[in-house]
Amino acid sequence: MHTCPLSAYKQGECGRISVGILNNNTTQTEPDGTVEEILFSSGGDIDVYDLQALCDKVGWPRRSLSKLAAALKNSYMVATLHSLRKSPGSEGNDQKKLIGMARATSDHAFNATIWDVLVDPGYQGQGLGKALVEKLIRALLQRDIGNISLFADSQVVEFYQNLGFEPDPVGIKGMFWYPKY
Amino acid sequence: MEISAAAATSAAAAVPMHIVEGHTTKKTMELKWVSRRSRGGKIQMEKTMKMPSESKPKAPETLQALVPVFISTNPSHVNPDDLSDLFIACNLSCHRFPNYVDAGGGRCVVEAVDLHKLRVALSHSSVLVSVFCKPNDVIGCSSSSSSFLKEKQQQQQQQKKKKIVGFGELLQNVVMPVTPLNSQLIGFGRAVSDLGLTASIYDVMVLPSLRGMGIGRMIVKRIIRMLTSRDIYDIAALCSENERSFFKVCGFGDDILGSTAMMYTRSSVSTNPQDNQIVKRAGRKLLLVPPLSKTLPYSKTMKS
Repeated sequence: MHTCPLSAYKQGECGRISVGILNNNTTQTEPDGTVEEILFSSGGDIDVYDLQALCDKVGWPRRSLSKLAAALKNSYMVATLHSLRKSPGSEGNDQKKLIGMARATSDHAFNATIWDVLVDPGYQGQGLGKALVEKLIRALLQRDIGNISLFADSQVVEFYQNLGFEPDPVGIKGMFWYPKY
Repeated sequence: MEISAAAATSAAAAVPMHIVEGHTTKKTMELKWVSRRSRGGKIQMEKTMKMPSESKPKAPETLQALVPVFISTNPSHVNPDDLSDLFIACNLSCHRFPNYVDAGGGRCVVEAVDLHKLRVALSHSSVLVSVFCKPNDVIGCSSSSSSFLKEKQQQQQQQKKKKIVGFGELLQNVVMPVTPLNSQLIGFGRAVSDLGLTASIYDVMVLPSLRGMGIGRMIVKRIIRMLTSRDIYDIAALCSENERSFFKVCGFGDDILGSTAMMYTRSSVSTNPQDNQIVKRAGRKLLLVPPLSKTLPYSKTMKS
C-alpha cells in the first residue's frame, strides 16, 4: 500500500485525528466473527491512491494525482471514513479501506467551500455522507466560519437541502471562469 | 516599475483603454493607466486637473482623465485598516448575510469588519490583489464624493494651484510615481485556493467613485493570472445579483455542468426549547451547529 504522507497535524487547526470510538463508531459483527468498524477521521489521514480508487468507484473523471495530493494538503479540513475489518484468526491483519471523504477549503475566518463529498457505493444510503458533511459544518462553525458554500450537482441538491443548505440564497449565484481562447 | 513615455507624446491620437504594461513577467507590482471613456466613446489625451478649491466638479461625461493606478499582488501591501475602510466605503461585508445598521437618513450600512478576523482571512488567502491611486486622483475622479472620502481628502489637499498641462502632469507622475506608500487603497480582491484543483474568489471591490474605469476587471484578471500560473483553472465566484454582470464581463458564466451554488443557512430545527441547540452567529444569521448523533445507522448486512 502506497502511503502519501500528508500533514495530519496542522498548527492551530482542527487537524487532530479523532477516531470516534464512543459515539461515531459503528460496529457490525458478521456470522464468521469478522468485525467491521467504521472509523471517522478528520486529520487528513488519507492515501491519495486510495482516494483515486474511490473516485473511480463513484464514476468521477480522473484527476492528476499530484493535483489531488496538493488539494488535500492545502484543504482546511479533510474528513474521511474508513472501514476496518478484523477477522478472528488473522491477528494484526486488519483490512482498512477508504469508504468516504469530504473536504473543505477556507480562509479560516469567513468563507469555506465544501468540495468532493463521496461515499463508496457499497456503503451509501446509511447516513455516512450526511455524517461527513455535518462533521465539516460543525468544525467550521466552531471556528466561527459562517459562509459555508458548495456547488451541488442537480441530483444531490435535495440531499444538501436536507442537511440545511439553501440553493441560491439571497440571489447568490455560483459562476465559473471560462477561458476564451 | 516602468512607464512608457510613448503614450504620453501621442497627444492628438485616440489612445486605447489599457495603455501601459510592465515588462517583467515576475512582477508583483505594476503601474497601470486607467481612463474613463468620454461621451463619444473615443478617449482623448488631454488631462484636466481638479482644483482643490473648486466646489462643483465637472460632470463625469466630460471627464477625460488618465489616472495612474498601482496594482500589487504583494500581500504586505495590504493594510487591514485601510482595507476595512474600503469595505465601509463600498458598503460591503465579509459575511454573506450581513447585519445592517441604520445609519440615519434611511441608509442601511453593513457592520464594520472584524479586524482580527480580516487579518486571519488575508493570511490564509492564496491570492491578494490591491490597487492604489494617489489621493489627488481620487478627488479628481469623484463626481460625488461621499462625506467619508471628503474628510480623508481634506487632510491631504494641497493649496498650490496647478496649471493644466497634460504632459507636465504625466511627468509629475514619473518623478513621483504612485506607490503603496504615498497612495490610497481603492481596489481589492482575493482568492482562496487548495493550490491543486480549485479556487474561490472573494471580496472584489472598487471605490464607488472610481468604478467604470476597468479597475475591477483588472483585479479579477490579475487574480485569474495568479491562479492559472499555478495551474488552477477551476475558479469559482459566488456572486450577488448586482455582481453577476460584472463577473460575466470578466469571463465567468454559469457552471457548464449545471451545478447549483448552495449555502448553509439552517438556523433551527426544533421548536422545543429543551433541546440543547448550539447556534453560531454569522452576520445576521444564527446558524445551527449540527448536533452529534449517538450512533450511525448501520443497516446493511455484509457478505462474508
